[in-house]
Amino acid sequence: MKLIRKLEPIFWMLFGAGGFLGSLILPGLFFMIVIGMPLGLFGDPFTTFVRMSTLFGNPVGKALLVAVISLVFWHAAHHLRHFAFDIGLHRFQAPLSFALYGLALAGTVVTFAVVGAL
Amino acid sequence: MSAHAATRSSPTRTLPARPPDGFPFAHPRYRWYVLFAATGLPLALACVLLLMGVCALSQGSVGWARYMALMASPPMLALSVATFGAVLYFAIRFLWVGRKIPGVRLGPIPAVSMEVAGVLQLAGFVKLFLLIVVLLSGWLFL
Repeated sequence: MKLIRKLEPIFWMLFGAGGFLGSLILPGLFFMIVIGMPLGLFGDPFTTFVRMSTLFGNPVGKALLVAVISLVFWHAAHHLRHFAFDIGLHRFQAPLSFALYGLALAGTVVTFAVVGAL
Repeated sequence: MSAHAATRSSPTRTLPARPPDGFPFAHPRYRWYVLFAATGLPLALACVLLLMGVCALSQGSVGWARYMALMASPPMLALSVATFGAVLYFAIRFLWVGRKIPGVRLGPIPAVSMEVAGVLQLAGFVKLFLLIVVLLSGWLFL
């Protein structure tokens, strides 16, 4: 638990950055990629594939994807950790913290790997 | 004892902060707070669905078409729309809370009020949302 407390400022920084990217960029990206394009609102799958490959195949697009997805994972982990304490799960502080931040770290590694393969 | 010594952690054990009476469901304010705190789950789910899309993109046009078909199926569409609703709620509430962060004052220009800051943040959100839609839809390049 000492380690978690020591790293709290870093978690808080990741939480803040993830919150802003999650509120400003994620809704638009999610709406377009997960809802709009599958419904065919913005062209057929081949057209959207070419467009998305062009936009996210370059370093700037990749950096944006990595930043948004991985920081939102950290934001969600920190938010859920404090929510768990709010509802009285103090006694599970250590396992919950390690599990949630561990999942965020795993999500970040997977994000780097997936976006790197683009 | 010096003032510095007084800030040292005490060996006396203290109880954790107690939640207010009726928390978490007794008042609408608590319920909205709990809903906001619980948006961590749909936010993570949104990222997973997005990552699946990025993964499909790296598999070429066939993988991408498969992902499009999967996401267009009614159960996945229902899940995506529910997740999008939660993400939107998170975004609006996060920015509305963010209006409390004091803005930078520029010379003699008076600082904007909290309400104006909130409206400006939400306007920025709408502008960015539309910008992403225009960029990803390809309307700029038609």
